Order: sequence, then C-alpha cells, then structure tokens
Amino acid sequence: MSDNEILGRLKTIVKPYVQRLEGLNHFQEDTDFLKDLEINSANLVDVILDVEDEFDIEIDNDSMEGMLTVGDAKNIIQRKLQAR
Amino acid sequence: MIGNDIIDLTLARSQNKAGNRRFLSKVFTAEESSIITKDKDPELILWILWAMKESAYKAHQRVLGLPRKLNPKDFECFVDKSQKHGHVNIDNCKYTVQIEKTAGFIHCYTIGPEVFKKIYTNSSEPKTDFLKDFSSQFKLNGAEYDIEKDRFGIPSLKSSCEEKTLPVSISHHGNLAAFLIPLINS
Repeated sequence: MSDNEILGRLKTIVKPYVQRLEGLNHFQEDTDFLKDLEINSANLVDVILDVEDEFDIEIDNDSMEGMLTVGDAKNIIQRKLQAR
Repeated sequence: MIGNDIIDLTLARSQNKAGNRRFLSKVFTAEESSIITKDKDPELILWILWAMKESAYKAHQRVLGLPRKLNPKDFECFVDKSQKHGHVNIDNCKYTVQIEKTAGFIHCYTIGPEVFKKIYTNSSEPKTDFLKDFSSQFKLNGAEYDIEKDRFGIPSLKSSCEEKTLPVSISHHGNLAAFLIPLINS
C-alpha cells in the first residue's frame, strides 16, 4: 500500500476526533496528533482501534506507545501489513 | 500538584466506553477491567481510573523529564473504597492521587511527594547498579547519570545532557544499600 493511500485513509479515520481542524490542512508525516490536531489521549486510543479495523491489523501496546505523529502511525501500519 | 486531569462526565458518558472490550484491553490492566465491568456504575469508575492514569502520567513525565508516550496500561491504579483517594504505580514509582467527583465532572490530581526506591543486597557496586537501573527503567534516551555531592555532602542525581537534577538519598548498612528519589518537580 502506498504512503499516500495510508495517509489518506488515516486522515479519514482521525477526522471525527480532531479538535483543531486547521491542523488537517497540513496533514503530513510530522503532524502531531496531540499538538497539531488536538486529539485528546482517550480519543487517540479510539484512533488506534479504528486503524486496526481499517487496515485489519493488530497494534500491540509497544507499538501504540510510540504513536504520536502521523508518520509514526504510517510506519506502524506498514510494518504490521508486511508482517501479515 | 504536578499532575492533574479533569473529565467532563456528560461528554465522557456519551462515549459508552465501559462496554467496549477492545478499548478496555488497550488502556486497562486485567484487574482494572474487571473492576470496571463489575461496578454498578462502570462508566464512572472507568473515567476515574483514566483520570488517575493521566494525572500520574503527567507527574511522572515531568518529574523525570521523560519523552511523551501513549502507555496508559503501564500505569497501574488502585482506588480506595471511598473513591476519594488512590495510588498509581509505574516503573517502581508510586503516585498518590486525590479524586474529586461531582455529578458533572471528575477531577484527579497527584499529591506527594512520592518516591522511586531501589534496594540492593550483596552488591559490590550498588551505586553503579542503581545508575544502570535508573537509566534503563526510564529509558532516558541514553542520557548519562551520575551521583554528585555538594559541599555539604548532600547527594543528587545529575544528567549529563540535560539540566535536570534530582535529589537522591542514599543509605548503606551491612550488605544493604538503599536509594530513594522523591518524585517532586525540582
């Protein structure tokens, strides 16, 4: 799956949880879920559950720990897709 | 007060999290999940536990200068029967928290200071062991730590790459050595 496709799907997933909508205008790898999009940490867990559903992968706790930016999420998704 | 978290119960309750097993398994330990599912008000206890974890996370991150992480499950919560106090354990550190509830919100905050403690028996190099344990415990990005004493002989833990200094108390007796760090924001 291409980087762009992953990012596109990710953007759709995070949208309902974003509190700072202008952050979505520059949705790129260094976009920070908390700082740039102001997604609260409980909703970040929801994002992770939605990512699991969307990509049919399981995100273990060690991977979840490091999911702070869009790029982190993309890398984890790619890694899990390859390991499938 | 160095870590606090507030929960709007109207908003929180509307999310119906207590019935979401996958959410529970990502955030709560098995013990905590079972407390939630058995409670007569599962949503309320779930958000109390969440607020405890968040408060302790903020205090812990601040006191040790830790990088951000999403690891709620590592913070293990214990709530008193009264649901007014509790404590949270993480990496050999313990944070006591005060819990305030109204119909509309939960407010939780750490009260302290609490301590990080390590005891060594029969160690020939307890100081080295302690410094190694301290660094590996908190995965402080390879920062070098050392114990320095001031002109009064009072020890503190100093990081080589950050301005961070933590007070440390050291005691030796017989084959034992004990190290204690109060978890206050110094």
